[in-house]
Amino acid sequence: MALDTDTFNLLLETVRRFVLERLIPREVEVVETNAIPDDVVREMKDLGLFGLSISEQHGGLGLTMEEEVRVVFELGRTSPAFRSVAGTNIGIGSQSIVIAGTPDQKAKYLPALASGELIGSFALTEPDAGSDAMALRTTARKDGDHYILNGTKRYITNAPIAGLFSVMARTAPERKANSISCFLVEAGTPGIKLGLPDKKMGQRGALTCDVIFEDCRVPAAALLGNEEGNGFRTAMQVLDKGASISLRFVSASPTA
Amino acid sequence: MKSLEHFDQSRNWTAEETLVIEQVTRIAADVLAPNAGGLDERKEFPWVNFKVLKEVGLNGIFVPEEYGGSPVSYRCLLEVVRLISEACASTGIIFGTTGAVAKPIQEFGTKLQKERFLPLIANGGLGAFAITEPHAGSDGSSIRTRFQPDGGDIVINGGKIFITTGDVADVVLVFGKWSELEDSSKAVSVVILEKGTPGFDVVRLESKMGANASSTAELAFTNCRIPRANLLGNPGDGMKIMVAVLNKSRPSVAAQALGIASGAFNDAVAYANERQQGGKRIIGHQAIAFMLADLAIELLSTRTLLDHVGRLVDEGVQDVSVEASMIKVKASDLAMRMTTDAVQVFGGHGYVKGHRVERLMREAKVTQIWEGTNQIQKHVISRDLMTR
Repeated sequence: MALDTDTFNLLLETVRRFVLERLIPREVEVVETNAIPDDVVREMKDLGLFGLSISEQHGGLGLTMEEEVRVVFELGRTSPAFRSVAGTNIGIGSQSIVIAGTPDQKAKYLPALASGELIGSFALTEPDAGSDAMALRTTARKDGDHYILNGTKRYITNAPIAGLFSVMARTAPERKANSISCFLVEAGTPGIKLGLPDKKMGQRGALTCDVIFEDCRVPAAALLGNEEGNGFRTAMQVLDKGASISLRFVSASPTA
Repeated sequence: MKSLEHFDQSRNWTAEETLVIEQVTRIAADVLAPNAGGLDERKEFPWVNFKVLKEVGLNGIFVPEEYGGSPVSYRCLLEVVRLISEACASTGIIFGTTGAVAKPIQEFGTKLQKERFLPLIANGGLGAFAITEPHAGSDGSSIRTRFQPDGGDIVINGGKIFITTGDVADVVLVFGKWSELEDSSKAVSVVILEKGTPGFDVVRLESKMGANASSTAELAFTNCRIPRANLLGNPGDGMKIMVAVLNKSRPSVAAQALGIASGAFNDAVAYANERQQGGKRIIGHQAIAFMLADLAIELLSTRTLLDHVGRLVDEGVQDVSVEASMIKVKASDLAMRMTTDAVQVFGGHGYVKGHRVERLMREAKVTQIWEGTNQIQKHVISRDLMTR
């Protein structure tokens, strides 16, 4: 649902001022502490930055792709870490639910993701499945009205602070798209372990780590869209949308 | 890797040079490479490495025999710098800089100066070059540090920035303007300043993108008094000395950059042969294979060019300024390209700390900047192309 021009321009102006007055002055602090300050995160939530791409019906701003891109472009004028903390909620951490979630799953998680109360992460990559995502090995075995997850995910953005993981796991052995399903797993579910945050060359303040599933039992209701085998397709759709992430670096360059 | 094997076999080292290179190769593998990551992480000066280099007397390659050295050909010196730098870029630049300090003392020094400072370096002393000032980088002749003659002394006032090893060097070659000469490039002169001289202070050390084990110091001179006997050459000889130094130090800096590139290349090839995606080793995917092929061509051509420059110097060619600039540009641009592509080959694993390519990429950038930015190098090269 697109905003009318005046309202949208007001939003852009507000974000622009926010970046200039509130984010840029805190960049050094982010590098030194490798974290985003709590008060900044609160202000981002108040501005609705966590819900750019979630519909108004579910508590978000419901921006079109073009509008979302233009807002993200503004966020790009400062450290990528600021965008990253809201980035997974705007993008890969929420869109699998937006694209393929059941009405119940949408009602349960989207409002909290939109407000930023819940941080979402997207768990696809594994140590042996990078560019070749189809090679993923995390399994989800059906057991009565539960699934049991086993496997390791790597370099998962925002995992150290996430409340919800969209996990791509294998429900069939054949190397085919419809062997992979997506599960909405809440943090704190027994059987989830987090690795230490990765030490990286740059992007200080943007946190990634391993997410390890050891006989992690999730209810059948966690299966995205209540349908096995849509995980890979959904993941690819989510990533296509998420390619707009590169735009923030276009706006980053003029300030160099 | 046939092309590099053939190249190594073609170098025709003497028996002595072969021994030196074998020894350096062993030290690089056993000591320098294992220490490199930790020293960079802790921003710690590599004393642990220089202790070993001192024990084997490696600084001797910079000094003539009569002053306690064991010199090798310039080609061999460049190979030593490259091997050290491949294992630890910070150690490489500190080592190379010391060599660059020994050369002008050898070429322009009085007998007394040579007797005093060359054995010090041969025995493991470290050197630093102090030219750059806040407003005088590429424009070296606009330095403001003053040398005031005063009886049998010279009094130094001024400051320097970005001085590699400036905080701990035993011998610092300081460039400044002789107060009694007209303030222009004609006044630039050079003095030899020893560590611990009163009035010579280390103001601070920089925090850098990379080469973090190499200290980069801001220096201050406040009525710093040194004997007139520490003047190198005559008042006003500074620019002549600077040019002579750069002709020998630029290829050395190129060798250091080439070391970084060599390390990154080896790592990328090894990883591409090991990492599997899509059912095969990633070197079996054309996108990666052709990237590595391009880099292999660049690496061999750059090593060949460095060998050529070294050979010219060994054959006694006086003015190698154009070639020195060329190899500096080529090797440093290759280091940046190679390390960037190596991180790309490693994917996510190349961005996180763990594999050394992350550190190599951070180290490569400065090689395009120091010792004369690549823009200044191209100024030298293109000036040579201009007809009168």
